[in-house]
Amino acid sequence: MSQTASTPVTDIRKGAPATAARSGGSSGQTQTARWKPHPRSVRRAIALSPFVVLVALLFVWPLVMLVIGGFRSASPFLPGHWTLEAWRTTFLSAGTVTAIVNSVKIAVISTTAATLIAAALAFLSERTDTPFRKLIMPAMLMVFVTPGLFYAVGFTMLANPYTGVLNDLIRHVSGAETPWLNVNGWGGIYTVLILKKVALTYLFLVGAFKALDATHDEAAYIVGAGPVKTFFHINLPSLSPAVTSVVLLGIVAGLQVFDPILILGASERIVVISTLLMNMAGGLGTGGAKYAEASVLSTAFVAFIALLYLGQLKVLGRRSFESLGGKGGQRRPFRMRHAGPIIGGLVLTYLLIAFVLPVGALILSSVQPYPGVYIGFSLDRYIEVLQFPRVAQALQVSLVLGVIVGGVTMTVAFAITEIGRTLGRKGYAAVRFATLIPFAMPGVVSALAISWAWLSLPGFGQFYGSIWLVILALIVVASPLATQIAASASSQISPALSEAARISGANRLQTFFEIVLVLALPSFLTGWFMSAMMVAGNLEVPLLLKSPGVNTLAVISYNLQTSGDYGQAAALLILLKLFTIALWLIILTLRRVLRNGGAGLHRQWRNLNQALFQKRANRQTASEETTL
Amino acid sequence: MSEVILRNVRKRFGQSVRAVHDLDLDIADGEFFVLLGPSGCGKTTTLRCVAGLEEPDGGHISIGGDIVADADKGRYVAPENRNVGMVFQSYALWPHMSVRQNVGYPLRVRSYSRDEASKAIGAALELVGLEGYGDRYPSELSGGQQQRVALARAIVARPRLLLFDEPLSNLDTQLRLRLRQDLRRVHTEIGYTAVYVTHDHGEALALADRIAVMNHGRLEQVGTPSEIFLSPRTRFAAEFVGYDNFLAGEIETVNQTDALVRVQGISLPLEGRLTDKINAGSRAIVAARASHVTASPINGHTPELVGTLSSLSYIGDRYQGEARVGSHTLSVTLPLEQWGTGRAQDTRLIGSPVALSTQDLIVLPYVAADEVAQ
Repeated sequence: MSQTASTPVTDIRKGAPATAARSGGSSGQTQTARWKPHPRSVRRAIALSPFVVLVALLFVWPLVMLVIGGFRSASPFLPGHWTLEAWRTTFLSAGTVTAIVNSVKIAVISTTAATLIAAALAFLSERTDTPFRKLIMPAMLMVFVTPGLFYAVGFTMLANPYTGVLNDLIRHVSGAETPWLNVNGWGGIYTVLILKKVALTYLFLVGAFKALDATHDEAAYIVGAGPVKTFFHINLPSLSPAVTSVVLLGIVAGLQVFDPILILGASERIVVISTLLMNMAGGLGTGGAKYAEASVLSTAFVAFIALLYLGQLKVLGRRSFESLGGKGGQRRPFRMRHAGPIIGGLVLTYLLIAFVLPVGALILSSVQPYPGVYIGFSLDRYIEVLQFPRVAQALQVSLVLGVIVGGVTMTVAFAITEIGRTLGRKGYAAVRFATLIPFAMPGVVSALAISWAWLSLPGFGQFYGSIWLVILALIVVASPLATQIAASASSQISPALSEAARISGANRLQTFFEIVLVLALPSFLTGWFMSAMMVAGNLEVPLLLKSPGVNTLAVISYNLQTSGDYGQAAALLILLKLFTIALWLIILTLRRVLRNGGAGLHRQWRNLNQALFQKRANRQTASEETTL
Repeated sequence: MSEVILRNVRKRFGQSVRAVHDLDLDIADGEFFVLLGPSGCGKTTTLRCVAGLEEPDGGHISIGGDIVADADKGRYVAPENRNVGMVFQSYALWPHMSVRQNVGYPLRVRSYSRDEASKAIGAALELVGLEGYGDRYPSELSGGQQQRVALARAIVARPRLLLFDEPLSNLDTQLRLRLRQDLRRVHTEIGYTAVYVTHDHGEALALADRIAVMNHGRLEQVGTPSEIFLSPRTRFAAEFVGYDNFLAGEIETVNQTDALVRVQGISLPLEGRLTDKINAGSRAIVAARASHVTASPINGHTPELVGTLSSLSYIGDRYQGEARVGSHTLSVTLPLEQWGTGRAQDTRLIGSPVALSTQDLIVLPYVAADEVAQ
């Protein structure tokens, strides 16, 4: 029945003297151990080598190319010499220091605020009976999938001092001339960043909240902790892998923030690392490209992220955070009672500011003939946009890229996490860190590094300009997010569940697909969706890898925006939103059906069968009665 | 045949933690073998090495004559290829599968036909008393039912070896007793070889054909339940199977089966049964269960051994207490028929002298570590 039946039988028999086996075995081992690697280590190394090569090629090699770039006098593949000049000029520049300080300030403030708000919203939506809680998830998704550029544009249309809808409204109501709200500058940047980041943080935490073991809460209530103490003392610490991961993501994203600075910080001349890098890469048209300086700054950036990651490891230590055990339990929501309407009102207000108002402003600008003009509304912008053949094509490309890249990335992310977990604490940490590398390389730089890395490999030159290089690059770009989601989901699946499958006779691959992936399905689908959205909204990769015909919606929107067609850009964005809503509804339905894995589907199937059987039986009885 | 042989098995975690030391075990075909010991004694690690969930650092393991792990030759058979079944402490039922799917999974991965699988699942569920529960999901079952499903899943493919990792420790006492009987019944009906890990000596005695007591990754004693229970060979084993009193002394005289031990602070030498060979003149430990040291009222006559009662509690069919003799404190039994009922609250008894009589004392070899444990 099993392979063991055919394994060679050696001289070990029941009753064979233990001492004989011991002396023979151990002396042989001592002699060979000195000069030959242990067979088990060799076997393990061989088994893991494809995995190591894959991780190195996808994540480490681009970094290597990037670091090398910092020591060259010219761009990669161009003649030049080795030099440290870029290191000197980059860090001695006052502009660099200001940009770093600004980025750090933005990252820390926006991440702290966003994490607190998102954790509270996640708690309210997942663990309480607060009114309107079911609106939180769709609203957060909508905010998340709104590209940063247009979220910033939405706020500009809402609250700029000249034609901002809210300012116009206030002027109209109060008769005052001075604008009350001004979205340009630091205030606007923080508002937009925090509101946007709350969405990402929320989506990230929700999966972990869902997986929390209800008995942990009950145990806390029993010992006298109220819901608030339970939340801070039990839930949040149990979620520390998810929380620290999302804080890490938030800080990194905060350090890379680009679009809102360009839109809302330009008038105040606010410079951050990413705008500086874009400038160095020649993207802002202010001078020649300084690839070496861009490489140096990015290398320092990656080193800083490494420190953050080590900090996360230290915070988590050796504790185990599994809360999805093999024992079933039912979850009860926490009752808000009298506080419900107040909290619900606050939630609604938040959603209004974070989602309804900016989107409303976008919708308005998509039907306005010109900004600031409140007559002659029409759907002309939509009709124009839909008539562009490139829009239909871009929609198709975005969908295909999103679905393929999202699915592959999440599968790879879970595989990396699962294999990584078998490598021990240090090995796993190294793998996790490797997958974070692309995330530490801001937009343009990561696209550059990835293309340099692969074009440097023999045989890969022919892929330049093909969709395959775009797909590969997008997988790498989406991997950090995907791996974080996979890691926090799989840290909550008890290893006993996989072990039980192995003992039952399933091999590693079967166990991975039939147990781990199925149990992590809600997180997998969320990750897939988020990766797909990230891919559809990615601008740098398709632009830099220049694949003919591979225009995503982000590329088209960007082109419309830069050519000043704000109305058309807004119309396209609204269409993108509708498209996203449709996609998310599909995912939600899938998740609902697959909740508890196949449990829901199976139950529905059983109920349907029973109903059909009953109907047939009734019909038969009726016809028998008629016959009689 | 599915005998299990462990030779010289070693397992370390990191540099400092030695979970299993040079372990040798022979488990016969069809035997129900229990690994008994406290937390951290290496019993679960040993079981996981047999299962293939851990790879030993040294030594070898064979199941039914097949070498499944041989660290020296770099041989290691993955758990899915060992044809074993396992019941986990946390049950490890997959929440996304129904009972039928959970139980049927080992058959699915072994490519059983639908009919064969259906029959085998039905039989396994019947064996554990869960007919009609096939369409439920783990979250719809009680703890006891979940554990029965785990058992059905472990036996459904008729593996050559069944492994149990403290399967009853999450259940209440009554359920534990019932499932214990079920496990024994299923073992008798199917006749599988089993390795069972527990820290509960009651469970070990009820289930085992043989028991191995483990301590710090080593075997303390291997024997039948009655050997372990009645004739523990070390202080650790004795303590683990319920001996309460340990008195260090020196052997005065010794014959084939018994020894006379002089204990400092006790006037008369204590006679006990030898469970291992000890020479006259050497140090030894006299051990007794509390139930074998009886404290009686002193009614006129002068008893051979007198103690002072220092605590008393009522435990149903008798009292249990502590009595001081010299510098020693002994756990003792006070029979109801001698003391009458309702005496637990009688504060006058505390500090009063009692007559002590002993039976079934055993004499154990003295090791230096016992000094610390005194």
